[in-house]
Amino acid sequence: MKNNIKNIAKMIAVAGLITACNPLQLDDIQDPNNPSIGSISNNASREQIQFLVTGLESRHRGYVTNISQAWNCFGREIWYLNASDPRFQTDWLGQNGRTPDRSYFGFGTTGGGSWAVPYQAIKQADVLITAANNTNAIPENAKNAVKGFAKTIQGYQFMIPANFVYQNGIRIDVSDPLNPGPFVSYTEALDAIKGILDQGDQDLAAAGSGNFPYTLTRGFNGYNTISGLRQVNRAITARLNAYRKDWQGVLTALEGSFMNLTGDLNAGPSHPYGASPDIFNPLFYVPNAAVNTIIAVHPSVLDDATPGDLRVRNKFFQRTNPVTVTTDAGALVGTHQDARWASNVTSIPFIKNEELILLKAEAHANLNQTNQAVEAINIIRNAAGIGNYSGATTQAALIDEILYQRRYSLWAEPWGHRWIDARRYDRLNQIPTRYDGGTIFTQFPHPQAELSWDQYSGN
Amino acid sequence: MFNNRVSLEATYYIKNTQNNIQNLNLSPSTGVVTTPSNEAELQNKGIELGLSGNIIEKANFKWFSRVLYWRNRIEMTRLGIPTYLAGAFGSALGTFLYAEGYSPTTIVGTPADPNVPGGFTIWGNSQPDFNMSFFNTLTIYRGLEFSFLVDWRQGGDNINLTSFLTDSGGTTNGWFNDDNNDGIPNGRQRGPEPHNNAGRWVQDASFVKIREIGLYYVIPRSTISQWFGNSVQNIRVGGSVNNAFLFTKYEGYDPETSTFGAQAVANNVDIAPYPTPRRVFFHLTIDF
Repeated sequence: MKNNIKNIAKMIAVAGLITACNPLQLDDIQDPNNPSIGSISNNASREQIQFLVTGLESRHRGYVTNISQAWNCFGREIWYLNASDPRFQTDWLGQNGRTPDRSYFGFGTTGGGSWAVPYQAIKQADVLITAANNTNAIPENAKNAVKGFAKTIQGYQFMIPANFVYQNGIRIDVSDPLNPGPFVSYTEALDAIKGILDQGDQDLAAAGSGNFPYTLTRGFNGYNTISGLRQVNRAITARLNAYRKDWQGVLTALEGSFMNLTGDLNAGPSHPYGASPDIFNPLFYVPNAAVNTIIAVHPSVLDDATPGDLRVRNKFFQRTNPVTVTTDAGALVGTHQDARWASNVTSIPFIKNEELILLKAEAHANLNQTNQAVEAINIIRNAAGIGNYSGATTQAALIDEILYQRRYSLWAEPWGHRWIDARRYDRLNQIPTRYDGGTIFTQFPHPQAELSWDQYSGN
Repeated sequence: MFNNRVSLEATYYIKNTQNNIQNLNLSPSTGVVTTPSNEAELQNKGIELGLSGNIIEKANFKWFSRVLYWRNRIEMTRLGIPTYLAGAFGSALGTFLYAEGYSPTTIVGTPADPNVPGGFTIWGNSQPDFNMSFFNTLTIYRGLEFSFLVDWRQGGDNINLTSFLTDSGGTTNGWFNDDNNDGIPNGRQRGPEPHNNAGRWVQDASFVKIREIGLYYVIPRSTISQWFGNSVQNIRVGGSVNNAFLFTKYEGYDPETSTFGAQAVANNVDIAPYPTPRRVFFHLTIDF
């Protein structure tokens, strides 16, 4: 009996080795929560493409918190008061002589929301483009629509690291994770971004007309058609062309954009927010909430305001009890908070009609087309309830006026407009530091992780 | 030695570990932040000495004593991936350096120093120069037993963010003193010029602690049988104190505690954690 059992066991073991599954060879199991790039880079289904499109929209808003809090501090549009960690004050305002280093507070060694995060959106767009190129599951015009959308988002996202490190330059060739391309200068980078946006526009044009073939969130309501997305693409290009100082290019791009001189100034695509599992609007704070962490209006914005300006009335809310935060560089008092968001699920626009009209004014002013510049300025001024422009009409005076209007029209948008604007007109020294004793940064060095990678890879 | 009254133990070790798993940080502009790697190798070198013995062994008085000494040095002999910083609260407040040829207990922070891998100034090392402990038991007249344990840690730095918080709020003891008489209080002028770098919070955490004191008395048999007859075999009474005294120049509550608890590397970050408690016990043991 005992021998029988032994023999049977041996037979089973031998049979197992010869015929059945090898216990040492495991089946490949795809992680359903973290699907691999390989699973979609070949013959992705229509549903998978849809997931990638939605994922890209999600990545597209990753930068909002960091840029809104930090860059708007750099340009003194706001103070990000935070009593839990004094570095939000001391480091971000450059107090006591602090200057940005490669692993600066709030950005870490990867540059965080101002570097790694926008590049992740760029990567996501790359993945989407690869998936669309290598599938037979969707028709040719849908492929073009997807590629055009992806490149439009890429163009927008590339501007973030470019403006973060400015003259230090960024990498544009980033498709191979183990073999990133060289850093190119700011000017070269902007030209390359122009190329990406133009390609996106051409791809969208090749997609024909009608609705965008995939579902976009409500952030793109009004723009979820092929022609609507082209207008968004051209709006982003207009912003880019202003940074490139290609003023005729700004006007050309605006013609293709959703600019509407008589329409709603707030019209434009936005980043949507919602309750869990989505995330809440990161800029919303309950009015008068008893908190010591809040985005406060910078006092210079209040001091420089024109009496009767509706933007001041609508965007700033005077708190009953100011928020005071004390650090080793003294106390900062925030008297007003951000009143732009009705609730914590309000969408945040990322480019809007008001900015496009201001870009039009700026382009005309730079081209010495004074009347058209003043016309555009007056649209903004009348909407704000402060009447027509009556100052000097020299180019310098008009630029002054436009930059002033941009401070209030685009106040604290998730872009750091004033910081970038002051820098491109060489006016960083006009941003006041007397309220906090800090310094105005010009740009950031490359994040430490980039340097470490280059040292590691021998570049 | 000396009729088995003294014993000496000595250990020297070199311990190499290989294939430590670390995240390889890629160039973040590729949109891919990390990928796992198993290239890292660590070397621990150390020495441990123990000397113990009955110093006095008389009928009415016994003294047993044990001295331990140990030190450890750790080195990242191979990293295999780009140098990186991790742990604590970033370079502005002191963080740890993972670089080939350096100990991962190295504390680095602002200002930037391009000559150091990782790009920041080295401010300290959380690893102690050495530790010693000194244990003694004295038995007097058979029944009375007195024991104490002293711990000594020499060197080793803490990242003292308790000071950072109290300095920000102006509540540090002596904040308003002005050692250099320039009108700016000490609380605003910590550490090296220009008083804004991470070195302000890296402090030597050497200490001597009277870790334990105990005093016990075993009541003699004859007395017990007088009191209770045969029903009680043994009675021991006494008192003991944990963490009785601390001698240190360190400014936080306790140079030994860490907000992040016991960790291999970041075990010395102090953001006002609870200090180790001082505990007083009274003992009564009765054997029936």
